[in-house]
Amino acid sequence: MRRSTFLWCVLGISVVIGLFVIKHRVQELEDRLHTLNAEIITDQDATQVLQAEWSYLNQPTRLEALSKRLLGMELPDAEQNVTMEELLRKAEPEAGVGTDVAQKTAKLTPRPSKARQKTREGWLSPILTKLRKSQ
Amino acid sequence: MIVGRRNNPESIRIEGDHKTAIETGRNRLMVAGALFSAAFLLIGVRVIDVSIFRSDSEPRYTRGVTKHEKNVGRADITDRNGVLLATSLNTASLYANPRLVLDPEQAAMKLSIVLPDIDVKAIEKKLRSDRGFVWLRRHLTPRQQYAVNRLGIPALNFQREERRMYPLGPLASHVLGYTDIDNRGLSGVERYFDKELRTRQRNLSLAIDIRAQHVLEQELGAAMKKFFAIGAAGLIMDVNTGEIVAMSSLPGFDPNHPGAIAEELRFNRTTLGVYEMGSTFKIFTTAMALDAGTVTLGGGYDATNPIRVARFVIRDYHAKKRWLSVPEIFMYSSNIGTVKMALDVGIAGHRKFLSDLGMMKPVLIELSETGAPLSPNRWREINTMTISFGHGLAVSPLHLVAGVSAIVNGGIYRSPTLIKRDTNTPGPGKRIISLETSLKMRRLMRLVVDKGTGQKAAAPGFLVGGKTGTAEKVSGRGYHRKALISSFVAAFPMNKPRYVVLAMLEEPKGTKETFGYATGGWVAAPVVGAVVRRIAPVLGLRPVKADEASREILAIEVPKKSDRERRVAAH
Repeated sequence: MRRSTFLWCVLGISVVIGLFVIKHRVQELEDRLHTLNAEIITDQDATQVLQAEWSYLNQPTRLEALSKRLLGMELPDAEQNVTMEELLRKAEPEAGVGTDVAQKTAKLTPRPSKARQKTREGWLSPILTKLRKSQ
Repeated sequence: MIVGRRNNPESIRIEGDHKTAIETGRNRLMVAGALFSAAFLLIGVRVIDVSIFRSDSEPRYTRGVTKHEKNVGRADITDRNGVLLATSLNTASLYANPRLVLDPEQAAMKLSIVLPDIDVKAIEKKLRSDRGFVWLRRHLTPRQQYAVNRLGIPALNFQREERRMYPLGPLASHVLGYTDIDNRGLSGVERYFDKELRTRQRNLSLAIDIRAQHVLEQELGAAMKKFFAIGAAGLIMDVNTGEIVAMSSLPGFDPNHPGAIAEELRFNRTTLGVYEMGSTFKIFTTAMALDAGTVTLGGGYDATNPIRVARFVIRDYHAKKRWLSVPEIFMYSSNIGTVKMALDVGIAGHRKFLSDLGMMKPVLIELSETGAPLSPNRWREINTMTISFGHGLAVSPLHLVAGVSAIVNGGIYRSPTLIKRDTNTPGPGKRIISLETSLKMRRLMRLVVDKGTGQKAAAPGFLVGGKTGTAEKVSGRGYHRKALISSFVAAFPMNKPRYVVLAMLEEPKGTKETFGYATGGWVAAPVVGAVVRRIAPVLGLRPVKADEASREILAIEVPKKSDRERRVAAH
């Protein structure tokens, strides 16, 4: 009789402690959920703002003005609109080394200014040589 | 507790006063014990109540965040490539509970320090009112919100709200439309899809390509300025899918400031405005006659004398005063020849043809702003005669573009749409003309740009074909000679048309450069040419080299042409 009473007491106390611990942990988790939800909303707001800003900064008018001013870009004419294959095919017969290719491409693209011609050779020749190697 | 043991004779028996004292003590103990256990029981019950049955009387958080709140908001609108056109940003709006305000005057004063542009008197009046809720200021910036918070006025609070934002400003404003302060769509797709945007979590993908839209608006705007036009309209339509790739009505507005939009700026010229389009209608008349078989490309009509009917005289703008072949009639935009072509088909046939092309009812498109065409009540011979060259039937520019798309795409009418199609396969359409007629029309339209009135629309390599149109605006009962609607409708590339482009200017004035002409060929055709040159590479079209065979296919035999006649002033 005494032993069983003692057992019941221990059981009761441990259940109470267990309940308390679980309750405490649930509360902690709830707090965390709440914080995370709040963070999600903050982040969503931030993403939305950033997306809007990205779109704003990508306004065609702005990009056009910037590329004209900073990159010296112009509207291409029909002659300048070629695929890489066409460019290679045209450059192929006489072009032996990379610089020749660049010279040839300079011929293909009519009336570029001296400075721009240089930059164009600069970026185009490595691509061309790479393409030729892969072929 | 002391208990007497009956079976033990030597047990102590307590009696008398002692016994009563002990009894009293025991009773008191019992009562105290019962009280204590009742108290503990109460506490236990409360503990269970608090820990298991959670009460709502005291929330754990000052502001709960629910799942629902995460997803509120009007859906975004993007263009066909996913560029954000309209979005909703969360802002805080300031409200007050006037019943809780202790000192309205002081509160209003304080508020006016952090929000300098508010009206102190009005705010104070609001705070004195006997209501539970008043808006003080909508859509605060985060900085303002912080400043108001710092004032520490107890009755003030913030409501999370969202504000519609159009990052691209006035670009495509008539397509998008705008919303009011409570985010209700008031025009454009914002209005048409209001319910869907409100409830649907998926974003709305328009068929608009913002790059093409930008080019169209820029070129139209430049032309408008150059020729002092009061307005302009432009459209680019994919002939195979019916998608509207660009739609522009100028002058536009900035949907970010809906309050500041003047009434006349909201008018969408491309869909709501109806105009007598002029000679561009000859595309339909010619296609109809060729399809009906009343005339062939080799045939023609005598255009020597003007046609007199009732009190009208129909004459050619640049009369050749001789027999003209069908290509010549089209190329020189001869009214006389076109009228005769239409009369040969007949009144009923003409009417049915235009009605099949959707010219009798508003275009079905995802906008609320669609104008009903103005067509004659009773269709007589005179109506067929004038409508054959684009007078007497007023349609919206969108009608025209949808019709021309059907003529050049192989003969199938597809209703225009502003929504991006998920598949590339064209939807079902209605056959209007045969494929052969469509092929002939492509050649005729190409001829106009190659040798006729639309030479200024040429874009090297992209085989533009089109038709000029110039109409006088109706004023009262007659026509206004100086107020013109000048337009050019084109398709490209003509060997396999992909897009139809329309440029229309309202009341352009001629300049020195155009020798005073303000006709379609002089003011609208260059816009189309410039637009095509700029957008074709962007839309993934490759220029056709001059020596390629497809150019030859489009060539057409024009009987009786001389060099002098080629230099026709544009009409």
